[in-house]
Amino acid sequence: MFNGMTSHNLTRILSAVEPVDLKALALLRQRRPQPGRWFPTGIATSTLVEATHDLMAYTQACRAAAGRLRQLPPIPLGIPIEEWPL
Amino acid sequence: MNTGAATDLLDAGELVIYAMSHDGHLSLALAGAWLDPFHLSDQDCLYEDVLDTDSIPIALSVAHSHWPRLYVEAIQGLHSGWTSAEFSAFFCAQFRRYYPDIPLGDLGNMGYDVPLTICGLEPLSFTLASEHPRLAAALEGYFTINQDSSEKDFDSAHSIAWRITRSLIGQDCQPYADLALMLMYLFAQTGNDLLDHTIDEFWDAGFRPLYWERKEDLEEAQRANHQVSIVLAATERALATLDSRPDIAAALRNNILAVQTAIERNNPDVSLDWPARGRRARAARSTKRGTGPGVGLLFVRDCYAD
Repeated sequence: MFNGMTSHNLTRILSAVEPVDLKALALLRQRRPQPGRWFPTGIATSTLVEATHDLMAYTQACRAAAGRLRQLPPIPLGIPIEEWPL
Repeated sequence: MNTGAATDLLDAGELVIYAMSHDGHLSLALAGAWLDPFHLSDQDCLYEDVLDTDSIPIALSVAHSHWPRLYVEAIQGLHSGWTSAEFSAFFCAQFRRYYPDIPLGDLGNMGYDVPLTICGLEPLSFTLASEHPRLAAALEGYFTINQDSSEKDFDSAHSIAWRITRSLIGQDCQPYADLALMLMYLFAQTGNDLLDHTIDEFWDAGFRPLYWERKEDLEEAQRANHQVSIVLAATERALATLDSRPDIAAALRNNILAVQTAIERNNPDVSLDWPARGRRARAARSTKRGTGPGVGLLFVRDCYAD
């Protein structure tokens, strides 16, 4: 399925992937942590479970995508490398 | 006095967090550190070098794999500054809600396999009388088996006990279900390897250890350990019945004698009598929780009745 892929095409495809709207990121933007703390507090456990589940699923999806990218056949760079003749 | 610089320094952390939470990549890193820091650790190394040191990563690994809510609560507890002891107490308490019969008293145990309640008896060992005096007394009192008995004596008693047990199971009521379970435990006939083997026999037999990270192993350990609890509770009740009900104790003696005579005469058919039943005990709906008489009766019905 990846036959004929170029580095430019691959970059274009990866750049076109829509950002995922993760609940954890929304929570981080909405809830400022208390002074001296790194993370927001006082959020219902059920909300945190949902956000964590969401983040875990995203991590898994990223791992799977990275695994598939590692399986790609070599792609010609199409970038002139001046040092090559040396 | 100029305090501007100090104020700026105190505000720096807040500013960094604000900037991170509004940056695409950094907010992802912040979210990972906040909610799922465990995926950043090297999970292949979890079981190395944690024995006798720190089992928290193993506990987090198990929670991460199987119980999202427990994982979240544990991570938030660690963020809030829990000590190892507080984490251990919380995790063990929560774990017992999922698996009440897996004896996890301390996180330190998680460096080893899932604990199993291996409690088989050695009827011909001199240690039985000191470790289980009431069971040793029952074996001697009803089957004349003690530490001086031969293997042949024990095999004969084993055959008798099996016929008695079948008859007790056929009564389909308490206290006979408890008596049946007690005899099966005494003669290693339960079919549960935790009850039918001593610790040495169990591991010599080549049973594989059960692993924390496999949910099916945890389920199996819970099921097997719970069966052990049911049988041990039934055994205690049966011993109490024999003490408090001379009619049942006499019936057991008479029936053992009847089966022994039938075996000697090579007569397979022998009718065994038991005292009339009182009020019929109701079987429980499930054997998953509890170890009471109703659970014992249902367990016998489910596992041993033809």
